[in-house]
Amino acid sequence: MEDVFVRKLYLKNYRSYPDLYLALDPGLNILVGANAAGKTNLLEAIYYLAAARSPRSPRDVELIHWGQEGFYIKALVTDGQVEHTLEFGFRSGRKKSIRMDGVPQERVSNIVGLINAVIFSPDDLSLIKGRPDIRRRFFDGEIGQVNPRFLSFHQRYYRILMQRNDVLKRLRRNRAVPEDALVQLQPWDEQLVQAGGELIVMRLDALRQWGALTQATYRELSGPEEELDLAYESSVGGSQALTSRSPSTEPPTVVDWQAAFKDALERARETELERGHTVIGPHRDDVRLTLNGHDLKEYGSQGQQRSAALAIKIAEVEWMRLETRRSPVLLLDDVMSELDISRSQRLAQLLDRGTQTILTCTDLADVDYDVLEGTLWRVQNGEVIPVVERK
Amino acid sequence: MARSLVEAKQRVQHCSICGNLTDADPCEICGDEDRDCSTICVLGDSSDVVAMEKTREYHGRYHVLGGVLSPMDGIGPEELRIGELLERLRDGKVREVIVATDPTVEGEATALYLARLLNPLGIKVTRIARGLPEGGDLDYADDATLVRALEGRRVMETDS
Repeated sequence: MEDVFVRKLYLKNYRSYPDLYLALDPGLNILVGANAAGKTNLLEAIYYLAAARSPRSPRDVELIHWGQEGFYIKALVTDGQVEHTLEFGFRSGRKKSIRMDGVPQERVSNIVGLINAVIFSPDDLSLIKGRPDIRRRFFDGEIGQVNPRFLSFHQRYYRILMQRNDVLKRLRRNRAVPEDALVQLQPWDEQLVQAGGELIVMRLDALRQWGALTQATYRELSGPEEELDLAYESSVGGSQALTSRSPSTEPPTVVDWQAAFKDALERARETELERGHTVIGPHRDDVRLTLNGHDLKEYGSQGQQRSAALAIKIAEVEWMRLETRRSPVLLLDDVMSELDISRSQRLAQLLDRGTQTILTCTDLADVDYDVLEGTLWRVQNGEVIPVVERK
Repeated sequence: MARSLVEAKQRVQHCSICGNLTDADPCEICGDEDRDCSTICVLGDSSDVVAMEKTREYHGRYHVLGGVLSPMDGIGPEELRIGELLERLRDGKVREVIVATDPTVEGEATALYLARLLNPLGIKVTRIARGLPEGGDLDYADDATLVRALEGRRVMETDS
């Protein structure tokens, strides 16, 4: 496996950093600092290099340092023998600009996959407890990190959706009769169905692999008595098991999904005209987790939910390694303090493979750093300073 | 300089037939008797006409819509020169309409809308192919373009 890592990072007016330059360790980096010192912001900036978006804020404007008009991120990324520069610039009210090796890139899909990153954070619990849109945004974002084709279709789908919703809103306002509505909707319906079918199948392909790995990881964490299952709940075609051990029939193809989506849209026509927006489609789908057949969100204990969230993330690292034949950069945001010994040992197993890791903590005592060799940094007042002497 | 700019602005108008920007009405292309009047190439903007003309490969007529469908921007069929297009098709001389709007979501919607509108009139509606730029490097093509090019692949027939 080739090593991909962030060698240098420069942040200008990004979150709490007016101006930061860092030369990172290709192995382990431990960032120690008080709460709200800016540790998470740094991890987020590294994640941005991989996904071209923040894991927390869907809107770039929220990433700008207070009182400034834009931010800029530049990084040197080492990929085996090759080194690339990646630049992201954003000014409020404009489209973000991306450059790779100095060359402007029109599409995000052209640069994703250059480097991948997985972030572990206390927020991960919201993947289990949160609303469907949190899971959707997460899974879509991560699939997009390894599959540029997915990203292209995703952007296309949501663009069509916005246009189509605008048509529906107008039709509702004008109380249009269904025949007129059809003429105006058809050009968008056809595209929505096409892109939507592709999107669902790409999601399912990724989630079947990822789901199986999640199930196996959960078993490692919690023992064989508890079986975690994942299912894709589609507003278009019902529930699809992602972790079934006996795949009974051939899974539906893109064409099957497109046909099902088209039928479902026709059935939903009246409801859509009433409500003025698109009520079915991959933008309404969800991933459901069950433990021994019971809904994890509703009935799982806090500990079970935490284990499942951790299993999803550990499995994500394995899945990305399989998909990209490379290791993603690991970003661990103050997670060690929350985990019990067996869970943190399982997590630590991921670290000793020479993968670049950036780990944050408020107290070094939380980190079993006898096991972990790396560079220690102290984070305070918008600065990140290497700590030469280790205790 | 300023005066010539003002003059240019006053002289330039939309051709009453095809909607292209011109300083004479009808425009040079619509007035050219030698051009094939059985084919109309539908475009979003006047600048697209310039691009098409540079190829010297197309000898039919044009129709400039003045944009593409985009409900978000308040552009519906009524905002485009679609009525004028239908008017031009009434005499039955046009046999093929080539829709060459941009391959964006909006350009595609416009093409689909026109296809549904024109097919019942017995006119052949075609869409330009999408794919790799000529002389381009596969390496440098973005993924979306590659996907499209793959979708539009064709069988290579050889004489056996």
